Amino acid sequence: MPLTLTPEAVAALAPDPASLKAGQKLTAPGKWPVLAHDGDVVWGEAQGSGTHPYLVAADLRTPDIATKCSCPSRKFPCKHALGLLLLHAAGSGHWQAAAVPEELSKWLEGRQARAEKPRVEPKEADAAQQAKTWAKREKKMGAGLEALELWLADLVREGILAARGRSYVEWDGQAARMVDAQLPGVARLIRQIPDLLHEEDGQALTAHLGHLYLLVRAWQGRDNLSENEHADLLTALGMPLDRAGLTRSDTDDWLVAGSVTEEEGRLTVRRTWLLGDGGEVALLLDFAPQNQPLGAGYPPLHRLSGALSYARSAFAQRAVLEGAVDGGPSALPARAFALADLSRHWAQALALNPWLERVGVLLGPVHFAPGQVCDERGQAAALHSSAPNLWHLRALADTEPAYVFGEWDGVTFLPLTVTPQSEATP
Amino acid sequence: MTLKELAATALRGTARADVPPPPHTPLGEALARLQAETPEATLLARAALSGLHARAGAVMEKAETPPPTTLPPAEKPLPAPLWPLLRQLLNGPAFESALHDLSAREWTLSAAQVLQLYASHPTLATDLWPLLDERGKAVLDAHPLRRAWEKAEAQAQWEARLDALREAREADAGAGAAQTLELWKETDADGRRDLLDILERGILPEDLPLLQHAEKDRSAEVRRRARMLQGHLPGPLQDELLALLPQVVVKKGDKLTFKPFVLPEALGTAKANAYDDSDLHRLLGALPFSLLLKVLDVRGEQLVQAAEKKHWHLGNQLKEQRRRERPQQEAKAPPVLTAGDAAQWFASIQQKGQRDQSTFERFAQHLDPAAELAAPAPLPFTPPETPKTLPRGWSQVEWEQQQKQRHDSHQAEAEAAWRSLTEILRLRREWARILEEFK
Repeated sequence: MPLTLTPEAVAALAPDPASLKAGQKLTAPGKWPVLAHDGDVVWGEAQGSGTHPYLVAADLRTPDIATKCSCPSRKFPCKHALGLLLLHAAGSGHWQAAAVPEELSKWLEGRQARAEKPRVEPKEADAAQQAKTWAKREKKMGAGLEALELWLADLVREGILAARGRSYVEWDGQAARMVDAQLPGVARLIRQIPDLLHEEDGQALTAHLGHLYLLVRAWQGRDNLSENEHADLLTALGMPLDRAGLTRSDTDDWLVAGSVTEEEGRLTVRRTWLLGDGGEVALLLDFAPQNQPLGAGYPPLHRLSGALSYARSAFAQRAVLEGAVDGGPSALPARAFALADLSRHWAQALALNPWLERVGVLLGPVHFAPGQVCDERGQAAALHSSAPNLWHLRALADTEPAYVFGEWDGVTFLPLTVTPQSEATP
Repeated sequence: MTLKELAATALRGTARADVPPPPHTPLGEALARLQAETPEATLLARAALSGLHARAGAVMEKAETPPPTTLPPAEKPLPAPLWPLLRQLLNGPAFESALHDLSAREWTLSAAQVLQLYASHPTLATDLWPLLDERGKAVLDAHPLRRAWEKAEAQAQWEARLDALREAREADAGAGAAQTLELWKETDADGRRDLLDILERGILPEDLPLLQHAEKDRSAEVRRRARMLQGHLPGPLQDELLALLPQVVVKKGDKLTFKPFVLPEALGTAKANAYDDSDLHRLLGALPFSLLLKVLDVRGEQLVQAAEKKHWHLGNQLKEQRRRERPQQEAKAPPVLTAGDAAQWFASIQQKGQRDQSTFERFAQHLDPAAELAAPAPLPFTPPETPKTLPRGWSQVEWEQQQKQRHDSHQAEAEAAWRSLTEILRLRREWARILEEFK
């Protein structure tokens, strides 16, 4: 089923508000000498400042919308692609049925081929070779963590106050050593230290150093960990997703409950949260090096049907989705956590996986106050600093109690989607 | 032992401070079991556990506001098929009539819809607020949108009072002047400026008490203008000024020069070193613009230019005086435009290559949406005559290529104008069709 695009869904694909605004400016049909569709592929020519118009296309055959543009923008989708999608969603402009130009057909064929390509089952790896590779890596990681333990002990012996005088180069150098030791997860945590270093009471940094030390100790005692706990440890250390350990979910029907894109060091990371009919939560992660395109992703509050598999974990959350088909727009369901249960849910999750950074939760019925999401009993959770503004949240709730899906990190809640109670699906 | 105490040791360093003993709490008992070989390891292990404990045990805050009262849903929400069209129409010049259609049918918008429109069209704040449904008004009660609307509403009411005052002054000079004085007393400095504008447009001898009263106003600008306006009334002051004017503004051929003079006492004293006040400002401002021209026997533009040359602000003052004296334009009936007019416009773009936005807006607003507009056929390229001297560094071929490119861009611009206009007409047709369905 081709994707039902709405302007809101297109807006959600924008990499940043500036791109969306620029895309909206391009929704004047006068700026498009050609607007055409070839089945579920839309394409057009956008008149830029140069002599030749840019050739822009969007492949809407699958829910993970893909776009292509001949402009030199490093944003993805670029403003031209957003303009094209907005025009298409609004039904504006003179659209003609026309075959895609040759420049685009190669790209489309490639996408088609990749989609149709039968999934190649991972080769039965040579067990001996695999063990050898793992042993080599394990040795490297072990050495890295041993060095980390020493570094942490030195840091605590000298004191955080003394460390405040260190230059950024030193922290970056330590992070780089962790990357060399194939511990990118640890490197990321070390790069966060300078942000916490100048906090007056030092509590956050002390806890952060403890977090790093826990990784060291867990590694030392890894033989006593369960398979799932071991997988969580490896994930926290920065090992890539182990596809061999994926477990197929019982359900194929999901609601895109929201997504958020963030810059993490040199990476752009997108977290897309899915909600199952039974209240299951799944997290899809997309990564792209900075300034590289990140796929357009799934529009929020749309139903999806596809094969979802959870990564191995004591608290299953991260997942991969394949063969997703769009099922049209839908509201959040009315089966949610009460705010009072949020702490317990988080504590349980943390008890299973102490490395967990956040969980996706559906809360409700709630209302919004300045800096807070509140329930009718008068309890409240603090809103994340990058939460949408209060007017926007209250307008979505429309004076009603509302259901809200968002991320909880134990301290703040980041709302991603809101549905008023009367519109929530039963 | 809490994270705070551990942090105090971590700040100073274990070389200088001891790891604090665990407290007698369940957490403390767990921490006590974490005893490593070195104080650093003990501190780090306990920090890990305390950190996890703090993360897991965050206590919920107390809600700062009670839940809002759920209001009844909108009785006449905007029909769903019109919403995407409204958003598109708001991007073009036909938005006013679309918003008018909404209010005429008493359709309302939700807070979320209004915020979306406001985000992309902040200038429409005053038009959007009245369209909000009851829920929306409750949600956005403290939003800047409301303040903007209230301000605009107050301004509109004030304008209506000024219009009524103008009519009253025309109908009965005595009653009109008395009404002006009454309004003067109840309004602020901004309002008084508006009243002085009205007086400048058509001053009445009955306004003299007001002008004398205004000489004691708190605002220096109001006092200055009140003094100057007394010169607009026939009488000894005006006679004195008319006698002085030809000595001050001297005409030599087309050239006007300003000579030094002594400002009559009745006009007060100009502020020293002020860009917007001088003896000349006061003298020229104390006579109606038309009378200045008549006495000096000059054209308006000639006088303005000479004043601008003297000081830019003096020029501006005279321009303002001229504007205020011009009769107010009556609202014009919408122009009748045809597809033929549009075709002519496209042809002119093909020639000039520039699209005039105001003409585009006129067509977009007033052209019959059922009009069939043929796409402008590109004009054939006729190379213009080569100039005798080409721009430096240009060859004949380059120059010809540039002419061709320019011609092509003119044709493309005309086609783009046609596309934009036909799209707006299509939207208006679609809008009208759906409106018909919901009649």
